[in-house]
Amino acid sequence: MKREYVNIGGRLPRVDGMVKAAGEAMYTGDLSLPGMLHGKLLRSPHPHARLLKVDTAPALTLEGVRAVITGEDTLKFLAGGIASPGNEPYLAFEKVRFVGDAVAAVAAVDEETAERALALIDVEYELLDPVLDPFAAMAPGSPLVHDDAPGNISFETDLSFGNAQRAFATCDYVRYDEFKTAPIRHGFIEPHAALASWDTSGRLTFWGSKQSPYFTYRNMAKALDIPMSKVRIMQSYLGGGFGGKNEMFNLDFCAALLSMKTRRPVRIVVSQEEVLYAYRQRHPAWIKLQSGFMKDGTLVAVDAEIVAEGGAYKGIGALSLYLMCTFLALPYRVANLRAKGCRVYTNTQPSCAMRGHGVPQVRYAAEVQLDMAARELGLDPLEIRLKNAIQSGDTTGNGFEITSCGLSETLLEARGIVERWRGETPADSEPHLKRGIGVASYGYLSGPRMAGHNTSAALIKVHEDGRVGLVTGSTDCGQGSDTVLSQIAAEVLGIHLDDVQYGGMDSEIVPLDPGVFGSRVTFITGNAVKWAAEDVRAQLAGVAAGLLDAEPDDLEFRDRRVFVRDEPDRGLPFAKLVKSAQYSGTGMTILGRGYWAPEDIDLPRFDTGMGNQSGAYSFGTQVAEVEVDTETGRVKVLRLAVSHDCGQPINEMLVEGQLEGSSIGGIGHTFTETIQRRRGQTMNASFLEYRMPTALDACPVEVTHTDTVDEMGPFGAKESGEGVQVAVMPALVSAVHDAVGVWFKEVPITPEVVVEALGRGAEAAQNADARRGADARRDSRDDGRSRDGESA
Amino acid sequence: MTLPRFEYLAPASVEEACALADVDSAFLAGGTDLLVCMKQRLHAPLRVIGLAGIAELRGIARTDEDGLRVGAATTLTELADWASTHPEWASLSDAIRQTSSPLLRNAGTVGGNLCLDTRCTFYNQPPIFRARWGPCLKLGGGTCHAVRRSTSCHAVYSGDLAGPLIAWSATATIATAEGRRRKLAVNDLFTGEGIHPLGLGPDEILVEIEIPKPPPTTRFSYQKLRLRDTLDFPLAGVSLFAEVDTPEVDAPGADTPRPDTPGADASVVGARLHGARVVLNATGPAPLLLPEAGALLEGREVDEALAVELGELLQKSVKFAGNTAAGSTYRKAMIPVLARRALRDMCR
Repeated sequence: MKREYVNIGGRLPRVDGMVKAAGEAMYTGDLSLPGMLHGKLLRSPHPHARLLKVDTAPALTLEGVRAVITGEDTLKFLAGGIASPGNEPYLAFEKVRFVGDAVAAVAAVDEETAERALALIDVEYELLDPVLDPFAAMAPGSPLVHDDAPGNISFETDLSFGNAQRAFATCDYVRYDEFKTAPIRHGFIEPHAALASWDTSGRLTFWGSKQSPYFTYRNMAKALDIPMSKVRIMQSYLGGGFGGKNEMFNLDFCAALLSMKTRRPVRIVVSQEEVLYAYRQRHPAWIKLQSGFMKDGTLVAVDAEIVAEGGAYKGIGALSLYLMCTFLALPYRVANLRAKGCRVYTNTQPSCAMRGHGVPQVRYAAEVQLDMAARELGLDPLEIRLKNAIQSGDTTGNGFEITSCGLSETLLEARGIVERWRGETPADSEPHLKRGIGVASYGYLSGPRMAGHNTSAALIKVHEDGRVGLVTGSTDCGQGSDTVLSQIAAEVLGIHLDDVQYGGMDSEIVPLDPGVFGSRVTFITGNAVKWAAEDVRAQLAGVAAGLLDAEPDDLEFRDRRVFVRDEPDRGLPFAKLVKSAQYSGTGMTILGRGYWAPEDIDLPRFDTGMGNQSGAYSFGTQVAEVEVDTETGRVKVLRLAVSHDCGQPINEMLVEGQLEGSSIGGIGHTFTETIQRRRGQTMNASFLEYRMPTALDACPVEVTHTDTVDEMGPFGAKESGEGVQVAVMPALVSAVHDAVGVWFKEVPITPEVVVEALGRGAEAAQNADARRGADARRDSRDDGRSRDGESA
Repeated sequence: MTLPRFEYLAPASVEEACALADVDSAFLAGGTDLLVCMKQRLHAPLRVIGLAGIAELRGIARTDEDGLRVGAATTLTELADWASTHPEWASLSDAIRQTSSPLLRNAGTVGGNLCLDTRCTFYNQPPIFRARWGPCLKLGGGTCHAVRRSTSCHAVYSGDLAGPLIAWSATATIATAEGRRRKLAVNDLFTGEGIHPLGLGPDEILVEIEIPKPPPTTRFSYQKLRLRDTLDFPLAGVSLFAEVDTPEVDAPGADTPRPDTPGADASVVGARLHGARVVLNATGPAPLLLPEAGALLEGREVDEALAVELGELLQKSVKFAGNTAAGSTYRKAMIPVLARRALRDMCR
């Protein structure tokens, strides 16, 4: 049962809403310091080349240029790497590995001079054969992106439980399909930006655009070989991240090193074009998937082979691959699973985490195949999901312990939505417009256990006017976590959201935090905040107990007052209590601290995928309705619905914002977004030619919350916002199939692809109602194995 | 991205603007395309001459013949808003609103859109692209990156307004450096060359366009192919302007679509067209007025067969290079679809 809260669950406005709406919020690129220099990076125009010469002398002669650095000026620190050491230099030495790899950096009195200086740097390349396709990369004799990675293998995961191969023999129906997803962008609007200031005491102060400032903190110290205590990371407002701003990047390092060299502050803001061709992307994946079922739809076994294109460097790709494999075990019960993943180096932009982190790719494949199987077995897509839905109390074969789980409830909710939509949907208004509805479900984690530090922490300072300041190391990249964390503090202390001032990130005083990834902030940092607020409350309760002649445990904090439970008149205002504590006798300084991470969570086994990964898992079901123009191939998404189990929403409005944004993002992944490359060159490095849906392309999104409460989550809350992106693609693909009778096993489904597929399968296209005839085909597979003949 | 250094000039009259201009200058008439190209270093004019302050270039007025005179610096939003409140011009408004996004239509101007430079996947690129591939023909290099061994530039004229305005028989007034004015059909503004698509001297300014009042039975349709409903330049466009005879009887066979034609729509029946002007845009370096298409449609009653004929004729008139966001095969295949939809609009 849900409890009554004051600051939890409602639709409270964002704490950063006003300054952002007014344009007053300062992002890193807005900051400047007296005497500041401007930095720019010289990038390789070649996908794979040996550096023969980098002559910076001509650039240094240009008036206004203060410093030029190359790989030779660095300590050759190699960044990235989980499960094994990293291999990405911040400035290339010996080799460049993709178009956009940084070769040198300049600091000058203004941007224009810096840009002119770049043109004066003389670089000689020896061109090497680039490796541009992961399968070619794995072939014997292929050029190597990294000499120490034979076969261009970056990382491998082999997850196995039960015995999939043996289990297939017992299945009534087995199917095999091959799926492919495209590389896509995070699409944040604020480009990467860094401002670094080195002082004579040997201290570096750094402002960045960082989801996870402590990644930069550690790497900065290592890359510059200075003590961590000499690195101070400040975080300004963030203009979006979506997984693409976790790592420390070359511009961050170059700003710092240039500041060291020049003893002047240095700011580097890269262009959006550079973001698009020289920074990160989502792993494109090739997924071979075989699933076996009983006649009643019971999922018995899954076997997957996943090839993920990692691009030029390792980054955090081991985690990406691990997630791709492990999320074949969720959100359905399956006793036998084999998932072999291989991350492969190519001479393209490095792949990294992005909203949903690896999971959208594999779940697209798995959910679509589940739908295909359902239709072949004559089962309703919702029924087959209900049949297999994981339940509270289950443990997956690889060790995910499912505590709170509302998956079945979301499916039942979705059934109502589908029925209502079917009733509302008019007959196809024109012969060339075909409508269809699809569903898909998802599970996601609330903070992955990482190999290193995993604990979030919070500090609360109580001001004498009864307001409080709150800091954590978690950053708000637009998702609203500053608001959510402030709500949690306000709720515990019985004050109002207005009374909490969320402070910025400053590594000098803000406690260590792993960062913002894997949907961990509400769940993990939220618990730390709750604990810190409880610490404050306990200190104040001790004072109040004396003043009110009561036991601390009998005190209630509510509506800016502290009073004896059930005797509201026996109390005093919160502010007055604070003042009493601070002013009386020797006086107290009320500071609260809290730190939290789920206990008994296994360290991830990136190579085997075994172990419980998170303290809680979220669930949900996505419903999509589309209209396919069978003549032009354009697909219009008419509406989406999400039925979501995020436990207790801390802020319904923010949850809806997350679900809407994530859903619309999934539309882009499905239909319009892909990085187009020609011989390793990104050809669409602009938001004109890289087609994210705009506000004008968005559709209505219906959101319903299921009524679950997670025992471990703060006030019962768990993940929201990443997970939902997992199910958007398959729901849309299923809806397109419902409309035109074609399964698309490769995204994006561009108009060209649709027209070609409909042309090839004209017969199938005319039988859009074939879904109703699935019964007829159900028993026609006596060998129990089929390939889909009408797929694209 | 920074802009290259330039001097900004803000003349108060057309004559002054012409006098300031030369081969090293560029006119700024909204800037939604020019500034992006400058940031990408495709252009680096020494002087940028802003036209927004020239009163003569702004505004919409009636001509003596009840046509329309539109100042070149009128924003797309202004013209679309005006046209949408005047029934005989409303279909023009629909066409304008297919251009880019509301924000860019607020900044972009009629003249700016008409004088848009040609575009190409291999031309509209940041400098790093050229560092590897070298400059293309349009940038003075020796190689066309879009069509191997081509000696001519295949950049695509991608303005949305030219097709509709040519279909409406609009004329353009050009101010020359000598202080003279000349008028020509909008269709004659274009050279057909990818490198220099406009037949304007560097010191000549498009002052205004005149659109004759359409006959009362006119219908107009602009069919634009694009991948998103916002922002995107056309991948192909078909404009059809015609006088339409109201059919004597209600469309026959409305309930019997041909089963052998996927997506057959019975509403492509019943209208008889006269004086049709058909223009293709975004199919090559210039918009393409096709008199033979007008001749094909002259006096004919619209039906499926005519739609097929028109589609085939238009399709034969174009040769796509693979230098836009969608492939040539697809764009070519869509021409008959756009043609048919334009014809269907004639029958509504």
